[in-house]
Amino acid sequence: MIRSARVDDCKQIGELWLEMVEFHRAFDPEMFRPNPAGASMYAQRIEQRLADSLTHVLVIEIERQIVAYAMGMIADITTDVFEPLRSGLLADIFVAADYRRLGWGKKLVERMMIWFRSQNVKHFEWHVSASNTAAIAFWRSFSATTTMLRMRAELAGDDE
Amino acid sequence: MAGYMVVTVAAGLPGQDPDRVGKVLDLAVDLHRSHPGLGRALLRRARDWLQSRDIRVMTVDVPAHYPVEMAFWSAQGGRQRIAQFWLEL
Repeated sequence: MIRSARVDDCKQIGELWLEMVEFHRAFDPEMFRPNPAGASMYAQRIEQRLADSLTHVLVIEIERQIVAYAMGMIADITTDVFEPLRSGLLADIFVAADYRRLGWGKKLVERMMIWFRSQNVKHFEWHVSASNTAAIAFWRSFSATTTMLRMRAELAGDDE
Repeated sequence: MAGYMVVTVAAGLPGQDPDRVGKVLDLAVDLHRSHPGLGRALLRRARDWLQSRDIRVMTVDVPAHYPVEMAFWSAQGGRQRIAQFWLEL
């Protein structure tokens, strides 16, 4: 079932986050490098956000296990030299490997869109790894538009 | 003023390394003046500034479907890593 996250879900959400980073690391090892304490840091971050009225965290629970989650928030996405633009942000969404291709990701997005609408925003945005072709295809199915590309360069002297 | 660049040190991705990255906020050159290599020169100074602060990675957000800007950053060693999507509700 889909429901809002609770404090006692945060540890499992942190573990899912680590699984998500490791999943991405397989095709972009330079970009996705979890801090050794990353899962607990992320769990703590989620827990802090649960009390924030501008943040919404959804989970899918199956047989008492959290198998997917999504975190959305409301923010002004422009800097102060532009007119304010209040928007939804889908910060993270992930479905555990054994539960993919069952429609859970789409259900999470649809439920998050209901929350975004309830917050009176007219659009939302999110980031996808440029190497994650499956995710890009998933988002294209929503008729989403690519607006920006984030490029990254290693600076000289990097010994990685 | 023939060009300017703004770069800052920002937090990296939550829970991931590196915890700090260089972030290009603005890079603009006056296309009506002839200053070949001005963008590269600005970028070189920005790289030096970031490296002096132990920053090893620099990111820049480029408008999608803007081939001139993409080509510039690619030539400077940039690789596309993240795509930002947008959906009307």
